[in-house]
Amino acid sequence: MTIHIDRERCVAAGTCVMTAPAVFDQDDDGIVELLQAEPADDAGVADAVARCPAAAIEVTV
Amino acid sequence: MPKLEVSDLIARPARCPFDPSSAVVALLDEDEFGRVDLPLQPGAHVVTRYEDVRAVLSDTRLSSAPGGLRRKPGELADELNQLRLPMLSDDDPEHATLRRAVAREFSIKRVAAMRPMIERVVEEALDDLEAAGPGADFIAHVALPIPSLVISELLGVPYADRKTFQERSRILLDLTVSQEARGAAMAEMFQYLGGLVHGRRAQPDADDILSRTLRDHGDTFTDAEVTGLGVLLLIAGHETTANTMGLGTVLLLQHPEDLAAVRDDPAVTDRAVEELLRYAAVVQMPFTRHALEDVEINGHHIAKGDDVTCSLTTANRDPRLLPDGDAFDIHRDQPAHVTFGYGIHQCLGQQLARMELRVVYPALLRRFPGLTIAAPVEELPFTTATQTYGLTALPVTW
Repeated sequence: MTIHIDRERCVAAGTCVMTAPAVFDQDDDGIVELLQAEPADDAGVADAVARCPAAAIEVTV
Repeated sequence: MPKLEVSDLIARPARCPFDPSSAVVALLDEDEFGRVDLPLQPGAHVVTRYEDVRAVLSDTRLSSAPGGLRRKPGELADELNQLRLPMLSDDDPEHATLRRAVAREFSIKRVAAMRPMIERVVEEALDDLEAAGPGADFIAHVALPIPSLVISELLGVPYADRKTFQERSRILLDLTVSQEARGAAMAEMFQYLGGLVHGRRAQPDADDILSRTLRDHGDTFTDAEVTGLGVLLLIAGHETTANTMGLGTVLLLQHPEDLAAVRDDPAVTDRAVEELLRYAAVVQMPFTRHALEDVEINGHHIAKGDDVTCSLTTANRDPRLLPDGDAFDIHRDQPAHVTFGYGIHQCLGQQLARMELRVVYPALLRRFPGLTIAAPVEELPFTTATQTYGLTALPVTW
């Protein structure tokens, strides 16, 4: 699993950090940052994708 | 195409004050779009299914900008009409410019750092409830003051001005007072925050949202724009959080088997907050969208120029999202509910709202272990004519 984020689309709702804090963080401006591009397990990533209001997270297997 | 009344969207059945009306549930069951004559948007589409609501709210062909709305001039008091809610009623790129300027204020880390301040505000509100004695109104003493005091802290409203600030914000958001009184309170609020912004512009070194915005984006935004932003933050976070706090208290007290866990176990508290956000869904209809071109949603046609509204209450209970969505269950794994909306306009203050709710319930249950509602739930004054669902009063004893 490889995760791609689109920081331009991000609207800083924080839902990804809430559901997958080991994988996503927010920078000082609230915009998504990727902590792990290839996490070993799902670790809430599917939930983060489902919740992201701006479709800013993409996962390829 | 089923025709609904506005009351079908905002009123809930008297005997089941948390359930959506049978008319919107019928739309959900039949997978239909309805039509409703909203005051400013006659013949608006009504969308109820979870997937359709998410599709509508995230489709940029459906505009949030009032320029696209068929407003009838003169239908709103001048003062309210002049309040153009920045960000909320903008599409990108205007929306994004403003949102990015303040997004950092509401990140998970920033909100976590606010926790001690929120705990202090909550304890003060509970002191006030205790001093008022059994039979006191939870809404007036706790649910309404907390969001107002928290936003006062964030905006840097001086202590000496807080009472006046709170009083104006209460009037501004009270739909039972006259349009004129609300318009006057709105004007006073703009004037007050305008004064704060003017002072911060001269000396922008304080640790608050207005100062930071002027420091970092002072060249981009005028004083009037920063003032409008302050008023928006006040309005957007106030009644919504207060109503959720009141309704959540009723829901938790109706499930006494859960109270000890909500009081003592932070993981359960977090889940319970998420469930009551889903279940109560206080913003019953999000801002109306306006089709900039023809759009197909799940086989339903929305023509260019049409207006669209959604029922967030039914979306959160859609059986395709949750098999038992009508049940209140604080232990369930939460699906991605749409209480905070969806798409680029999804609530920017959602993590702050969650934090206020996560702090208030354990503190309330610790302080008042014998808390009960001092009236039958079906006789409580639920709001039946407002876009935001809630209680106008909640008498409690302990």
